[in-house]
Amino acid sequence: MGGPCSIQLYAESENEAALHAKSAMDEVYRLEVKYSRYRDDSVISKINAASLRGGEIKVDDETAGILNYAETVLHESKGLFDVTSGVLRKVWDFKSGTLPNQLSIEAILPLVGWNKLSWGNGLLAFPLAGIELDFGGIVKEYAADRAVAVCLQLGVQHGLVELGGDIRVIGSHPDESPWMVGIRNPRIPEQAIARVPLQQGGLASSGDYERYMMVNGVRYSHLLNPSTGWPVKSLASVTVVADQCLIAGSATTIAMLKGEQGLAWLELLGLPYLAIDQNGVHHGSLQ
Amino acid sequence: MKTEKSRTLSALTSAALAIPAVAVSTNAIADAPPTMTEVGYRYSQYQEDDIAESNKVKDVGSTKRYDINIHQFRVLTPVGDNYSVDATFDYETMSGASPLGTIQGADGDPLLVMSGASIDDTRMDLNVKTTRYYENGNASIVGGYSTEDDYEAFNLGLEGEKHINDKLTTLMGGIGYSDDTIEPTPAPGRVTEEEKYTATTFIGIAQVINAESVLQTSINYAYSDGYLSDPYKLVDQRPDSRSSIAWNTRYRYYLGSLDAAVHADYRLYVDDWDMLSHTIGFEWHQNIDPNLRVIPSFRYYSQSQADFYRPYDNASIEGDKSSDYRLSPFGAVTFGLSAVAHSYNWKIIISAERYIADGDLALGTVETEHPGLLQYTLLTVGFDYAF
Repeated sequence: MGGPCSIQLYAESENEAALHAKSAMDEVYRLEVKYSRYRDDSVISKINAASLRGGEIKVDDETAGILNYAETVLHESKGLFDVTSGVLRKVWDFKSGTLPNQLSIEAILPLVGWNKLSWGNGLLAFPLAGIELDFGGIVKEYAADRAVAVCLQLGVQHGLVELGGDIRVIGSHPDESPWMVGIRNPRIPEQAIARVPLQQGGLASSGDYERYMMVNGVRYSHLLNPSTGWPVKSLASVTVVADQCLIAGSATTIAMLKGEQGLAWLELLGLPYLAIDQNGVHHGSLQ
Repeated sequence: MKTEKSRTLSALTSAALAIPAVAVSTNAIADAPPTMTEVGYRYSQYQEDDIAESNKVKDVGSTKRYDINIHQFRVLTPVGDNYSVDATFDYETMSGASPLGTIQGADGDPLLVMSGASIDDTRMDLNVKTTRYYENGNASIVGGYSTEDDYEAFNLGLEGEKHINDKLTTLMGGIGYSDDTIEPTPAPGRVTEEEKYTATTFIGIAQVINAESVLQTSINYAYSDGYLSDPYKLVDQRPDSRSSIAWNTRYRYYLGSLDAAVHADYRLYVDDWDMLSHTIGFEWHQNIDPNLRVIPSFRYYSQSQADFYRPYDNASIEGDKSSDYRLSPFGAVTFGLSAVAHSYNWKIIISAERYIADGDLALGTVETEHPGLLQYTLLTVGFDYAF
């Protein structure tokens, strides 16, 4: 799930906590296996194989729900958060330290765009072969919500699930004190720049420090605009708190992709947030 | 502004909530094989108190009763996605003397005729249970074999559980059959080889009442046919069949504020030998810290006598007769204390139990108390390890 994962639970005994945590982790593993790009037998691999043939594929209800959600996010982000844009990864190698040439970006851009596939009634069709879906930015957050759902089903009343920096809590600590979540300093990511109390719901962060390269003093981050194929000039980091980790995660991604309009969009959204701009100035109600 | 703000959030929220919650199998709610292999070992020392010299016929036999050392090995392992195998093997060595019968003493009270302390035996017992798990239940086949110097027994059974009502209710049932053969040490007038067959069946229901309590009740019926007497007794002749019904009820209540649980059990037993018994048990499971649980327990037992029980042996009486203390009227109490230290994949158990039977502890009045009523101490240490 990309990064360290942890589950903390309060239960009657350590044994019980361990058992419940295992059930929750099993759910995370289930989703990881189901939506991993790296496994041939995953739903994502089957979808992408159907796309390569220019064919169509019927998907299960859960995948359909995720696709509907992806479509909603695309719509709400005015086309910026697009699950087909993962293919740009092929030309953007952030480890290389060199920018891709414009021709290679233009060569791949035709394969980016949700509007180039057809989705409805559980059927995903690819009139244009070669479009790839990537549920990064959705599945990890959804998995945190699902892990919490499993814990709730098992009667857990206090706990915290963290999947690679995305967090969902189950209530507060038993003494009603909130969980304290450290927010990374976008310029010194191993340090916390703020600590946010979390009584319930989910918290997600996104930053230009996650994957990026510096070329001639300019920061190019992994947040790519699907219409240009180039990184956006974004905020340095955004943290959002929402009832569900999935929504917090989508909100941070959209706010980052919105670039200079990110702050205004967060204000409109109305969820508690902490945004740090390129000058290190903090914005939002979570300070 | 306000409309815009709530519109985006509500669009995301409703799309997120529309992702169907798929059925998730979790350890606690679905019937699934264990995820790990578990091995366990217990060592128990069972020691019966000596018979008081005044309770036995003077200078005949030993005052020393049974000592039994029990080694128990267990393996529980998942097999494939839907099966588990649970195997236990017991190895017991016993030594000591046992009552052969009773005679009337000078003061009218019965006196025990004890065997010499020469009885030494080894018992081995293997039981294997294979379980198939289904989405809402499980089915098991059980088989066992047990052997001693003079005894051999096979058993076979089928059991099942079905969860209904959102898994808040569990129905259970089973049938079993056993075939026991006894070949006593040869002696004049003693049988050489005898057999008995037992068929059992049970049905039960467990109900989750709320987050804190569970109630389980079951009815067990058993029918034995064949040689049911004790060939080593001087005078012992029992009916050649026995049918019994036992009603078991178990209640579990979790006290969150104390981090403790109460287990209360009741068992009513009746059979066509005219015996009736009550067993009431309490256990207090107290979590001391996340890795340590202490369990004090108390059990009370009382039984009436079998209709052919006689306090003194009298070979001249026609028909069924026995002076076995197990068929006599008495009551008993058991005090226990266990401690369980555990972590995610290991457990260490230490427990002690003291059992005292006495005529005065019976619910009714016992006119003639059997001189051979048991007192014993049982000490157990063991561990479980999962990997």
